[in-house]
Parts: sequence; C-alpha cells; structure tokens
Amino acid sequence: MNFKSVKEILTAIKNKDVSVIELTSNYLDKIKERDDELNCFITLTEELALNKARKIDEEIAKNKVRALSGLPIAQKDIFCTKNIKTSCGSKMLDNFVSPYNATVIEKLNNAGTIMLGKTNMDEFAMGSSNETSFYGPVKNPWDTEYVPGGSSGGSASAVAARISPCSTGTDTGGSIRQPASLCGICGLKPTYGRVSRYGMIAFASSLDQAGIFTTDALDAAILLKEMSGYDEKDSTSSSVEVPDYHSYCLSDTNHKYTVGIPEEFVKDLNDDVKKVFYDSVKVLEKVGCKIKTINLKYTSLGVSAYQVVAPAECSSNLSRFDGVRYGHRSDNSSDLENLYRESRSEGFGKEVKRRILVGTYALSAGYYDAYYLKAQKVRNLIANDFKDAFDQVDLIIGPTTPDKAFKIGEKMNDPIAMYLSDVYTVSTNLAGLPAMSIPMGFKENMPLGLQIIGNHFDEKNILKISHLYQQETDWHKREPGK
Amino acid sequence: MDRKTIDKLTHLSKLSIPENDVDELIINLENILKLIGEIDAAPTDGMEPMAHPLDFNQPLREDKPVKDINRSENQNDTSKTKDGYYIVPKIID
Repeated sequence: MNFKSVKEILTAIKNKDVSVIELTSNYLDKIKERDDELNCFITLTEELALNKARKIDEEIAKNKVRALSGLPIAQKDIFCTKNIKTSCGSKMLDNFVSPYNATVIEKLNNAGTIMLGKTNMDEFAMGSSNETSFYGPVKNPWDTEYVPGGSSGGSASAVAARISPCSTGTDTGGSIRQPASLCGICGLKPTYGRVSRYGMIAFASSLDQAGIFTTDALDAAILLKEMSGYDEKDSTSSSVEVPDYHSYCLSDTNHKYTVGIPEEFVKDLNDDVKKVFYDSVKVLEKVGCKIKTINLKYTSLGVSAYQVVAPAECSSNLSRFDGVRYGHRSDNSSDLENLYRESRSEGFGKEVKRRILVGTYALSAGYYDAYYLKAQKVRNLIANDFKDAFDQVDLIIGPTTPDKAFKIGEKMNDPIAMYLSDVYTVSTNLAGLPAMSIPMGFKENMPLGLQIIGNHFDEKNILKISHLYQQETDWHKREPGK
Repeated sequence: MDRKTIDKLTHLSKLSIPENDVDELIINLENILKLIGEIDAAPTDGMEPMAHPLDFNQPLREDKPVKDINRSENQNDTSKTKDGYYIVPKIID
C-alpha cells in the first residue's frame, strides 16, 4: 500500500479500493516501524484511530462520504484533544489531558479524518530545531544526524518519512515553513485569523496561526478548506469567505503572475542555495510568471522585532501555568509563592525560561517604550513594506531558509544563530500574511524550500502557483532513502 | 544585564534559575538584548504601534448564558481539589 497523496487516498476510499481500517492499520504499522528512530510522535492514538476507522468504513458502506472520510492525519501536540494527553512538548503539561477539543481538531474530526497520534514539537513551540522538546529531539528522515526544523518538527518529519500522509502544525515565526523546507515537503501558514486558534496552546497570540503539512500543493488546498473559517470561540478568527482552493488550483484561468524577489532575501545567500533558488525562478518564468526585483528594506529588523514581540506575549501567556489548576505541580513547596516558582521552574525547559525572562524584561517598567512599543512600531514598518510590495506584485518569493538543515546539537548553545535561521520567515508573521514553503531542490542531499508569500487571504494564489510549479518539477515527489 | 537584574526578572516571572546556569544565562540575555537593540535605529517617528496584524472589529456574541465545560471535568487535571475548590498551601495564618 503506497499512496502518493491525500487526493489518491480519498479517491481510493471513496471508490472502495481500500478500506479505512486497512489504510489506518498500514500507517500505524509504518509509524511503529520508523518512529523509534525518528521520534515524531509523543502519543500514538492507535485504539481511537482503529475505532474511528471502523465507524468511517460503516459510513462508506452506506455511501455516506464526508469531505476527508478515512484520511489518516497526525496532529501537532499543541492542539487540545479531548480525553487525550496534550503536552505541547513540555514537562509542564506531561500530565495534562484536555477536557475539550481545539476547533482545528473538531473540524478535521468532523470532516472524517483519522488521528494517528500527537506529534513531537519544540517545547511550547519555542525553537527552530525540535531540540527543546521534553520528549527528545526529532530526527530528519533525509539524514537522522540532522534536525527536521521546528517547532513543528514531528509533524514535518512524519510526512517527509511518509508515515503520515498529512499533518497539522502551527507557525509563530516560521514553525511550519522552516521544517517543511528542511524536510522537503509542503508547509502552509495561512493568513492570521484564517484558521481558529481556539484550543491551540498559545505562545504569541498576535502571531500564532495553525496550518498544514502535505507532500503537494493540491493536498494542502484540500485540507485548508476544511480547517478554515470563522469560529465564534476565537474573536480573532476571520469571517472572510473560504474559497474552494482545490477547484481554484485546477481551474483554467490563465494567471500571468507578477512575482517579486526581494533583494534582501537573496543578497547574503550562499552559492549553492542561490543556484537552487534561481533554478526555481526559471521554472516560474516557464509557467508564465513575470519576475520583478523588489525591496523589503526592513527585513533585517524582522528577527529583532520578533524577538521582542513574541517573548513579550509568551511571558504573558505562560503566566497561566502556576501548578494549581492543571499541569506540573511541585512537591517541594511550603507556601503559595514557592508553589508557583517551583512548579514553573521544574516544569519549563531552558529555552522557554529564557524567552519568559526576555519578555518580562521588555515589558517591565522603564523598558516598555524602548523595547515593546518600539518593536510594535517596527512591526508596522515591516507590514507597510509588504503593503507597498503588493502594490507592485501578486506574490513574493525567496528561499524559506538561509541554508539546508543543520546537525543536531550544532546550534543548541547559540540562541542567536538559532533565531537567525528564521530570518526569511518571521516578517510574514509580524505582518499576518499567508506563506508556504514548497520543495525546490537539494544541497548536499538535504532538501531546500521555496517560500511563496501572498497578500492577506490570498492563499488560493499561493496554492495555484505552487501547483503550477509542481506540474513542472518533481522535487515534491522525492522521498528520503529512495 | 547583571545578577541583580536576573533576580528581579525571576521574581517577576516566578522562576528560579540554578546557580550554575546564571553566568551562561547572563551572556545569552546580553546577546539577545544586543540583537533586539538593532530596532533602536529604525525610523519609527510618527509610526503607530501595531498590536494586531489585521484591522478587525471585535465581534460580540449575544448576551446570554452558554453551557460550557463543567467544573468537575475541568478539575480532572489535578487531584488537589476539595468541594470544587483548588487546594493550595495555607496563605493566611
């Protein structure tokens, strides 16, 4: 059983060429075979998956077919799942069983998907290598000495290794696109507000957005439709209409996109990445795109502004973890102050503590104007930069990451080097824009990603241009070890 | 960044840092402050601070009670409860 895409799986189920129970068992077997090595999953939900598979098979027998009937999926362990452990990659929530489902989980469950398990991630989504997880690092299936990227490393690695056909992720500063790039798959971060954040454990609330990993753009189009839409439980979710992305990708409309390449995205690239990137530009020209050089002059300030805004919001969001109502509770506390302090100190890892401290510093009396307020103004500069760019072009492209994946352990003691690996991704979060990484080639046998950024709520054209690109290339079809 | 500042920040954020990690933390935080200090030079005169990426109106739901998760389900994640209340160390002598 070797399906190449979500679309193939859905067609086979609908045509009764394969039963959902066979398919689910097959993926669970693949996970058991590979996951000791890759460490993609924190929790495997085998029994639940098989029960749901039987239920969907009964529905199919009665010709009741939902949009994603029988599709196996891996869910990032940041999404609350009712009666199932939801750890967020942290010791703090190692004992947490959610009493409710996140809206993303609810929507995908209702569409007929089968959850295979909860995937490993950087602790509270804070990391770019999946090395900060309480459950150990995830390995890159292209070479297990290398990181898969982060924070959604488990979700990306599972899809790249073909042990799950698709998975969910979240992206606060690149946490979908960067691992997609380093693992050679597609990763889509929608516009802020496109997908509900209800039940998605908060890191930085004005930046966080849920999205997906797939092997090709058409699969991402299918899944995005089912995940998106206004949710009364999330006041920041958008009521902008959700189009049929898949039909739009396949429509005959002959788009002649004007595509911008920011000088700031390519000027410091090493020769190998530059060559792969410009080869992909030639493909876009071949499919009819007009290429234009543009400027996003505040790109270099993106990481700096992000490293104020995200920790500030994180220090506020993570203040809820007090050891009292849920999560880790210290046994070594004699008074309430100590209970808070010890529970938090034992429950959080090094990187999470570091970000809480930076955020607390930026928000504290005497520093607020110099750091937080200033960073919010820089955020506006960056958003205006994009606004001006989208007056000239339809879409913006660049490499997703400055280089291929790095080795496990290589950057763990150098937080600045780790933060700078997100240099091309953080600005889109600050501006709330949608963006996607798709495979564009290799450097020394490790994958590289092409980032496509669109205007607010223009996911459909990101997906369409990606589909056009993937009709001309086969990078997205390459599998590790083959 | 010095020991005194670290003490203030850990007090505010209810965290403690192991003694032998403090020196490394000071170096890392100094480097991070250097990185974020690059925003100092940005030309932001007259620029409004941006707290949110989209220009949303706050939607309001109808002002009527809704049934949400019940308390006992919510309290399943800790054994330290009594009569629906959370148990914490004694606060008042």
